[in-house]
Amino acid sequence: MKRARAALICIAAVCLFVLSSCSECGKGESAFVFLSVRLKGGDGIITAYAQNEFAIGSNHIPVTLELYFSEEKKSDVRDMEVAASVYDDDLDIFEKLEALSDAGNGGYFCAVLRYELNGETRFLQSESVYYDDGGNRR
Amino acid sequence: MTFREQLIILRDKHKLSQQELADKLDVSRQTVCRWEAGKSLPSLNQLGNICKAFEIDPNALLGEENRNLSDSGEAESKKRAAALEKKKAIASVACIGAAILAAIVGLAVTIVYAVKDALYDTSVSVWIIAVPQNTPMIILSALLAVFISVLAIVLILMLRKRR
Repeated sequence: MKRARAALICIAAVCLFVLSSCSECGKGESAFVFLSVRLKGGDGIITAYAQNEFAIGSNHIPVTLELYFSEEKKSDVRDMEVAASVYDDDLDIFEKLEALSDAGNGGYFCAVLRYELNGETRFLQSESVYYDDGGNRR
Repeated sequence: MTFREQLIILRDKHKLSQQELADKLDVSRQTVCRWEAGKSLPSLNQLGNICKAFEIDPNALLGEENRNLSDSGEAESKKRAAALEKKKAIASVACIGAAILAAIVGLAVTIVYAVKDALYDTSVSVWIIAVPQNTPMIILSALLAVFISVLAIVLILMLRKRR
């Protein structure tokens, strides 16, 4: 039983070594990350959150969190205005990023997280949510 | 009746002293003494000589001993089978336990994220899994890791067998 446990520890150590070596030799090009984007309103403020929920290895991921606004519902964020934008050159594990904006007279808000991977910019977009002037979801 | 008892009876029946029997069998008196004391058993060759000397069947002479030996052998094999069954049962329970634990952990994580998401107005997430451009090196590392793991398992199995 003790030997089986020792064997499992050995295998786990080897796996960990391989995973960490993956991250090292990739120099930021490899990644195993779980990112999330959330939107919340209240007290006349709309806040977009981006979080690195979980990661294995030393991933280096530059991210930009953008909060978009539009008076009317738009299917493409390019037709919306940027209400707030925050940049982080390395979103570490469990690190949270926030982008705030005033609800104004109310409208549609949408959060977009842009991240760079292997020289390519990708994005994660939340759905558009309508908030009134008090920042309450309608 | 055990071998030693039969030997004593047979020697008395043939009116032989321990020394006379020893001479007949070409062994020392101490050897005969040890057989009669039940401290040792004759070799196959010596057993043949005893049977020849007393003109009896070897099975009749070793009947009880054979039964005892086969009984102890059966007991030993039963013990081994029981130990193997126990190991199998432990392995099965461990596998089922690991699966249940994984399911519980998965369910707990799902619930935690569901509760967390419920605190926000909208939520979206993504898993980013990417490999670097020098993938062959990674494959090599993975192969090496598997190789080392297999070696470790083999070594452990060998040590367990030896034990």
